[in-house]
Amino acid sequence: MTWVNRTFNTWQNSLTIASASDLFIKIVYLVLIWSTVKLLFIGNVVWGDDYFILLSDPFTGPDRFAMLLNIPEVRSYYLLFALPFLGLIVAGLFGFHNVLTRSVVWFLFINLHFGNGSVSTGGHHLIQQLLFFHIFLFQVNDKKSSYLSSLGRFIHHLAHYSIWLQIAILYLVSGVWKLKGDLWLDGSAMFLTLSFKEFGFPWLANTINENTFFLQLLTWAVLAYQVLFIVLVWIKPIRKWVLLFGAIFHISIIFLIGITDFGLFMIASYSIFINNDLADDILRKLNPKRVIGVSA
Amino acid sequence: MPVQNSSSYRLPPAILWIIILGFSLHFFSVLGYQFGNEVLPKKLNVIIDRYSVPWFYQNYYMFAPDPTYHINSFIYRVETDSGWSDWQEPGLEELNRHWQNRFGNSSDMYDMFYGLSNALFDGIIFVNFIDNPTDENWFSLPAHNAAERYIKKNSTYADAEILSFQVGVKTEHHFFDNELHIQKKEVFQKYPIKTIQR
Repeated sequence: MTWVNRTFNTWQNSLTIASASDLFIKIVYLVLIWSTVKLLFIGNVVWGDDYFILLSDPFTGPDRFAMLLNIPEVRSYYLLFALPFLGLIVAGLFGFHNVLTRSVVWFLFINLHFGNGSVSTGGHHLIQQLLFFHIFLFQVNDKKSSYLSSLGRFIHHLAHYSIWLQIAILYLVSGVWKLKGDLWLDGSAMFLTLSFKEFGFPWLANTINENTFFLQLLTWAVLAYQVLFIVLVWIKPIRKWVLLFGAIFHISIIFLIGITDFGLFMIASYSIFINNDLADDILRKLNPKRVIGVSA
Repeated sequence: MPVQNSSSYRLPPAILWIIILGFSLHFFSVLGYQFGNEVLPKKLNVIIDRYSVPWFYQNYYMFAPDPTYHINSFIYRVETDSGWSDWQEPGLEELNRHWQNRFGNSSDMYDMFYGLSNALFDGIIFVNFIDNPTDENWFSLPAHNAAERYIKKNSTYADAEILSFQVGVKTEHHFFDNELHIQKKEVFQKYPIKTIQR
């Protein structure tokens, strides 16, 4: 039996990554709850009538449904997008989700995301893609035996690894475009970025007077990480070290550069790489019944 | 009747390959959208664009190919019965809050001001290409309209009786000198004063 046939059979017979997918959905939803709630406090400016961004409504036909909040008359009803979205992801956090709710979450996120391009980051673009794939994370019990169940398990595996690939594509695209410039290759990109108080802190911008070897090394390390991630992440023995580097990088983006959404979305997306056994362990420990001490 | 286990329900390989083909085509279009412009036939690029935008549109170009050399800030002032106000920089107030709390919504407010600043900056370039531009050329810019919306609806002067207002863009430009130190230069560009019609 070839490797391909073996994989096809395994992916149809049992859901070997069910807990990893489940944990991924919960962590992404948790970060989305934070992001949505903080924006709801200024919702009327972000999505509603008090906007001062430039709206863009270039599409006709079905595509217009992705940009509904760019239609001024629709913005008065932004809560009809934001609140159901919030409700569905809160319910999803507690395990109440299915293919329909996940599809609606993707659709509403697209509208909320495109409803204000100014607050968008690469993390938002990534999450939009990951939420598309999460639609196909069908929860099919291993004990269910039917052609439909086998199909569900097979597609779940494909969607799960598509999320891996999509994260890797983000880094590849970002890295390759950086290679087309000058400053990442000559090691001064980080120096220039941190010289702006807007991408750090005033004290930091005023302190860094010249490009140190440390800043150059940091610039090249980030570039190498982004270009090589698509290869390195598939190599099991080094995966956790690769992800650890990435997590530290994204945490520093949160606290140093200050692009919090991007950093948190990226760290949340890393949860898809958590080993299924570990994910299972984490989910059992976080089980609400266990947390509040109710016996099952 | 014997119970069949899940391994008895194997789908025909052709169906599985069709599903894999669907996912592969999706990723082909994702990569084609990012890198295909120079290598793929024009007709294929059109199809890929049609598929990708807007539902699968993705932009990962922040700080690429190079980080920005300049940052624009939105500035405005208003005239009320008590005279002209000082120049206000609302984005800076949000930045101050963001430096104190990275997890609040101040960065989102700042991002909106930043987007407005860039649009106002682009507007200046656009109008400067018009021969003998009139005030109407300036005031009809979408960026100026957005700034006016902010001043009238969101600013600290929203409740005041505004007689006229003026917007501008402060640009902080960074560049490397001969010794590879970063030098800073600031340019302040103003739009014409707009009087509110009553």
